[in-house]
Amino acid sequence: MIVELSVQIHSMGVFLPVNGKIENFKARKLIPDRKSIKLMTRSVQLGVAAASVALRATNVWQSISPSRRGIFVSAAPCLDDHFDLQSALRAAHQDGHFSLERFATNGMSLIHPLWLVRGLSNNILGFTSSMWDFQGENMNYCQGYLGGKHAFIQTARAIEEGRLECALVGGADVLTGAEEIYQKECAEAAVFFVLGPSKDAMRIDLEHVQSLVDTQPVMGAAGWLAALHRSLEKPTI
Amino acid sequence: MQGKKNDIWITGIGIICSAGSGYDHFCSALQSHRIFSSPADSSLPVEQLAVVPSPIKAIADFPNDRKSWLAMDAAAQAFSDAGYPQGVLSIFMGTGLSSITPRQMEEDLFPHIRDGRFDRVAMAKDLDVSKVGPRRNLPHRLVEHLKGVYEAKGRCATNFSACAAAAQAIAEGYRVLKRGESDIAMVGGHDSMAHPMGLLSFVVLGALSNSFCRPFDRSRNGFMLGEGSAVLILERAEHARSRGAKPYAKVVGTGSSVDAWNVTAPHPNGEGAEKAMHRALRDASLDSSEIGYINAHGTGTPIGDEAESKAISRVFGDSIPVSSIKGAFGHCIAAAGAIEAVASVAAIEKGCIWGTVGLEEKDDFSINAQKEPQEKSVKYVLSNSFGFGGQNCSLIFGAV
Repeated sequence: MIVELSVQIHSMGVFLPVNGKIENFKARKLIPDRKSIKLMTRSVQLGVAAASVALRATNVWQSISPSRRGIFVSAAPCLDDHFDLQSALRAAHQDGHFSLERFATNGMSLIHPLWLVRGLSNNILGFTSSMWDFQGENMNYCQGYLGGKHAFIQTARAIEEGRLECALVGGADVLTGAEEIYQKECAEAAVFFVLGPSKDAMRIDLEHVQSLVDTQPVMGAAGWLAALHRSLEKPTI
Repeated sequence: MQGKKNDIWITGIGIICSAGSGYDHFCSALQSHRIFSSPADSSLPVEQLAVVPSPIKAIADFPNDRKSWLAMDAAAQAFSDAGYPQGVLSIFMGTGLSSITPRQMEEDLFPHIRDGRFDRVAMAKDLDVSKVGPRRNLPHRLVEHLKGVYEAKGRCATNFSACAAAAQAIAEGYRVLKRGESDIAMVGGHDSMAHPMGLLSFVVLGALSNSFCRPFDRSRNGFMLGEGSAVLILERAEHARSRGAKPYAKVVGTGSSVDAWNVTAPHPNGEGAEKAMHRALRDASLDSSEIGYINAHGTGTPIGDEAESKAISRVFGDSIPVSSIKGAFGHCIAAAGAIEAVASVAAIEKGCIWGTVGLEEKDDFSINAQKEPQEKSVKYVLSNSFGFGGQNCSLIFGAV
C-alpha cells in the first residue's frame, strides 16, 4: 500500500546501532540542557539528542511561531524503573521474602523522587519541546514499532490540514538485552525528522518499510522510523 | 435527528470508576454531589482512595492487570450501548505508566535480586506474557486485544500523554472520523495507580492530598488518587443515522499544545492550557462566549489550579461556570480525560452543570468556580486535560 503525504523532510537526526549499540554516544555534547540529562534514561537521552541533531541541521523551523511547531513521538515507558527500585527492594527483604511493611518503612526513602517521572513514555516529547520551544499540536504514541508509523502519518496530516507549519517527528527506544523476550536480535535506536509542507506528495510504500522492519533487529518504538530512514537511503518509488 | 453529515456523534458510553459502573449510575453520582472514596489501608500514606467499589472481572490473558480489566469492562459497555455498530472501526486508548504492584514485586522482581542487584539474565528468562511486569505491561497490549475482540480494521493506537492521554485519544478518534478514514471510533482511557507503588510515585512528587481533593479551594493541597476507565463510541453522523442510532452529544472541536516549560510542572501562567483552549474553540468555529460550562482539569494542586484558572480567565473571563469532578471521583490519571468527557456529555444530556465536591472557600481566582450542581441547559461544554510533560488537550462537546 502506498501512502501519499504532502510533506517534505527538511532534516534528520539518526542514531542507528552497530552490533545492537549506538557507539560513541555523548549525550552532553548533543543535548542543549545538560542539567536535565541526569533526569533522563538512556532512551530519552537518545531521543532528545536525535531530535536536537535534526533541529540543528535546518533553520526552517526557526522563523515559525512556536505555536505552529508540532511534535509527535513514538516512545515506550522506561523499563529501567525496576532497576531504580533495587535498593528499596533490597531494604524490603525479610527472611527471604518481600515485606510490604519493610518496604514502606525502610525502602521508600531510598527511591528517587522523580522515579515515576523518569519512567514516563512522554519524556522525549516533554524535554525536547521545552529545550527547543515547540508548543504546537502534539502526540505521544506507545504502540511498539508501529508507534513511529502513527506518529509520522499523523504529523503529516496535521501539516496537510494546516494545523502546523512544521513538526518534529521521531522515536527512540533501548531494547538491548531484551533478546530473551523477543527471541530475536535487539538493539537501541533513535530517529527524528523535521517535516514541513510540500506541494509534491511524499510517497511511502508501507509494505516495503514493513519488509525492512522485519529484517532489522528489534528496535521497539524506533523500529518503523529506522526502517523508513533506510527506505529513504535507497528510494524504491 | 438534526445534525450535519460530517458531524461526529457520541453513540455509546461505558464507564467504571469509584462511583460504580455504567453511565446512568455515573450521572446519578454526579447529581448526588458527594465524594466516592473509601478509606485507604492504614499502611498507606493517604487516608482516602477513589477505587472501584465492586470486584472487577479478571481477564486471564492479563493477569493482575487491573487497569486493562477496567478498560475491557468500559469498552464492552460502550459497544453494547451503541448497539454493536458495524463498519470500519478505529481504536484509540489513553494509558498510563504501569507501575508495578506489590504482588508483581513479590512474584516477579524480588526473586531476581542476587547480591543486592537485579540479575538481568535470570529475570529475562522469566519474561513471558504471563509473568513479569515489563512484558505483561506493554502499554499497547490492551489496544491489540480490543482490536481482536471488536474486529477493528481502522487505525488503532495507544496514546501516552500522562494525564492528558485519554483526551488526546478522543481527539485522535475525532480527527480520523472527520477525515473519513473510519466510520466508528472506540476512544477513551484507563488507569489504576491506586496501589502502594502508584501512590508512592505521587507521594514523592508531593502531588497527593493526605485527605480529600479540594479543587479551586483556598486550602487545596493535592489530589486524591482514583482509578477507572471510560470509553466512548464516536461515529460519523451519517453512519449513525443510517442505522438509527441516537446520539448523546457530538464532539465539535479539539485542541492540543505543549507547555514547553517543565516536565513535571505546568507553566505558572497556564500559557499552554490557554493555547489548547483557543485551538479547540477555533477548531469548533466557536466564540468563547458560546461555551456554557467548563469541566476543568482541576486537580486540587496549588500550582495546577492557579495556572488553569489564569488560563480560563484569559480565554473566557469570569462568568462561565467552571467545575472539577476530581473532588468526587479522584484523579484517574490517564483515564481522567475520558471520565471527564463523559461528565461533560452528561452535562449536556441532563441539562446540569456539575458542582465541585470539596470546594468550600474559593481561592482568589478570576473564574466562576461552581460549588454546587446547577440545573441549566448548556449547548457547548469544554473539557480540559493537562499532563506531566506539559501536554495539554481541550475537547469541546455540543448538543445534537
